Amino acid sequence: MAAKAPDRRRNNPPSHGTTPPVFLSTSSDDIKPAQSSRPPDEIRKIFLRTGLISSVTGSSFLEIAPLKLSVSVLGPRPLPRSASTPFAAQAILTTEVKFAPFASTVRRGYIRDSSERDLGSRLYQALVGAIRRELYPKSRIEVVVTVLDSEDEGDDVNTVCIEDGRTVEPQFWDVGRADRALGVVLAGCITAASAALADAGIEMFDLVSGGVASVFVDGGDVKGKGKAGAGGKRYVRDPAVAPPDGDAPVATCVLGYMAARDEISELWISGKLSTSEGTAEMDELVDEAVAAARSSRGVLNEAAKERVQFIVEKAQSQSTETPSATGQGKDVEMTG
Amino acid sequence: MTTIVVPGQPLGPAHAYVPGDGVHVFNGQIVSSLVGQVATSKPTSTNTNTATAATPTISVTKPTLSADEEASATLLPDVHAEVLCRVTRINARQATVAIFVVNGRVCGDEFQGVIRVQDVRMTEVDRVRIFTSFRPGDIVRARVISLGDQSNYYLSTAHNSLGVIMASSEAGDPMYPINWREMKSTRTGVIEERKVAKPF
Amino acid sequence: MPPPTPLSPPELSYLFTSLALEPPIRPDLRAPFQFRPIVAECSFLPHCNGSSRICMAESGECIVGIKAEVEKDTASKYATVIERDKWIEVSVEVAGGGASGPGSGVGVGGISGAGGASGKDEGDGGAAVWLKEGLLAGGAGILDRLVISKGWHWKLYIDVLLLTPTSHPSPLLLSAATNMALDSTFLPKLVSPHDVDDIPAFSDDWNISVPLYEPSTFPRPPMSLPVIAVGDNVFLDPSVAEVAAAEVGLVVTLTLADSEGHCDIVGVRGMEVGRGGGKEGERKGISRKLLRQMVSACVKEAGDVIKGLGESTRQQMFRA
Repeated sequence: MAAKAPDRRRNNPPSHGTTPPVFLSTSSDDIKPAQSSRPPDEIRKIFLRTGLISSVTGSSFLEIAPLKLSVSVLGPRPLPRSASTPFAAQAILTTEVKFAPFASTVRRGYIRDSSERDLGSRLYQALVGAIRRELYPKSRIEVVVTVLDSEDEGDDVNTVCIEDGRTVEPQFWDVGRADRALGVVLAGCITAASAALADAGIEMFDLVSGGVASVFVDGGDVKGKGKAGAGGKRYVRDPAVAPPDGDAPVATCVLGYMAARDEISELWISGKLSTSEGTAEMDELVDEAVAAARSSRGVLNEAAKERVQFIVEKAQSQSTETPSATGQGKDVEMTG
Repeated sequence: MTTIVVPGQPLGPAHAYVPGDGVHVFNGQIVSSLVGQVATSKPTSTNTNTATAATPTISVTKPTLSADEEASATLLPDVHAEVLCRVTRINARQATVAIFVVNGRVCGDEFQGVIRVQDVRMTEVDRVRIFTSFRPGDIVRARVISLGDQSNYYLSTAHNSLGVIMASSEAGDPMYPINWREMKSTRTGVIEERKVAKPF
Repeated sequence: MPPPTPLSPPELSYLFTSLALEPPIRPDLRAPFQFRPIVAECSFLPHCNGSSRICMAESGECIVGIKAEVEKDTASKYATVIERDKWIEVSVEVAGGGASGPGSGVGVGGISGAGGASGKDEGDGGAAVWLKEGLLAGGAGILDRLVISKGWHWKLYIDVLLLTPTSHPSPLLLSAATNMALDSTFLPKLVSPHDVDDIPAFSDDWNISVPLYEPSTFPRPPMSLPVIAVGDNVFLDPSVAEVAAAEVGLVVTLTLADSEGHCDIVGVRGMEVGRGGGKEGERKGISRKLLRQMVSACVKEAGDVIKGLGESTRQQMFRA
């Protein structure tokens, strides 16, 4: 990996970087996030709208509690004229996921880092099968995701804090933390990108919706890793980054799901799953993630229809000569 | 109240309809590929084929606010499409053009195409010279004959209705066609050679 | 981008049809779950704590060197921040800059996530992310072993060097090489006490050095198996041509959970495949039934594969 040359096109922060703030928990009764009130089989409310950016073919904006992201779809546009470009009988899809520098506690640079590239190519995998690429020969479809705000990936659980001179060791190392944070972002990217592609009028076999599920065990069981009693398992759909009280994460599953075809276009499982009963443990987790994806599919369908509905109603109101300014797209805000 | 379908939504059994635009067939079902309104059209009476005469065509179209603007974003040149293009550079073998209108709709991005010397004219192909047919800046009506190689669409003007439709003289004045291979400047009356499209 | 393949559409279609037959016919006449032979060596680099070299029939040759350095936990005035996932650094590099082979820079391994979609600045990173993910997943067994004493830990550099400039080597090659290198990694023995935060001291004697993964303890280092599906058939260790013709693919990462060869799944990722030979409008993703088939095929075979590689490692260690 060659060292990257400094980025001279922008005003850069000090090269030595800054230290991200570490917040100490001051008291035991600190404010817990509101997520505990949500049942584990319910996903967070999703706000999804399409057609916000007029200069691109299709666009969407998605909000799931702290996560905010916008998706632009460009193309189909001609391939760049270079000798290295091969003849493409099918459209070439490119995907890009970029966190805004201010999207997380630790500032992100303008050059995409490895986790952003990773998200980008997993988004590619989720979408590429769903698009009818053979209809767009010799062209390029670009999907660009900008994450404006995300649930913090910051590592306050995996931090050893020294409070009043005594060291507070964490109960366990929450290694699945980054997976859950990135998983929720990826699922959001998949859902929003499908809406943007639909808004662009690009033909697809099916819409792809994203779903995340995590499985937890009691924190006390964590010392006997993997040996936790089967009864102690708790599945949470659309998990928050902070684990439920006292629970230790076991595994997280993120997938892109085409509900009309019952097919999974992208699958990513991270964590430890026992195979003593074959793939049963994995199946349960995948089923939970599929259920989460089905829930978000409902929102996706409504959001995809919303703008078309608006256009149709406007055309109808024009034809019937009613000058009333109807057609304000109604808010699509749904729970799973 | 019209119903709006989304991609993946089944519209009906495949044997009952002929799939049109914006739909595909999956598992014996016609399935929508677009967000939009469903339209079924009765088979045209001119169709004498009895097998397909009874089955209507089903298609999905995405309605747009302004008819020509949004739909053209996903527009791509296809074989047999009639295009308008601007000549960007010429050499003895071919004229390179930039396509900006496909089937009467303005496309979002310009596509590069070439008109090779053998595709300029239907007859007397050996005597065609690019320099007496096109000049950079001419607006040409042409037909796509092939998707071509990785960078160019191959176009043809081998038809009476195809060829230069707008051109400027060397002095920069607009010209009008006087016959199938000459155009005349409106100001100076100088005659220049072009492969001219039949105006009507 | 799928791996570049020199096969034409008719060839892909032929391949697809023969792989979809019942029973299927693979181009090299292997059984569906049969692996290709590999050449594996370990601990031959004198400057490394652990090393391995794997040579595979088609996807080439790969060397892994593991170096460990002593590092102090970062501490500020108020808190000690232990960013444990920075204790391991993985990098994958293609010899010769990687700019030579066809489609290079598109991503190593063809694993979803391993490599970029836009194909420009991506060559590295992706495979490294995926290899590290497998190491860290599942209880972070390895991280506990890296703690030296209070305030000190080992930092592990895992450098994977691909000697053959193929841009899409099998994920099996990279993970087998990393697995073997980790299995043969030894760290110097600590001679200073555990619970003081002075600079730790180590014994110079390599004969009493401690292995990173104590033999016959579990879990063992992880290993990833590529699996593809064509029609109703599932194939392990697919060749480049088979990947190009496949409909769907997965990379399943497993670790050995006990001495009897039972494995735990620590990761599953989608694998980019060519979708070369299928008909239009058919399978676009994995149904749950197929997913079950693919993963259980990996689970079934993984035990023998990982155990075999582990035995070979131990034999070579004793010989040395």
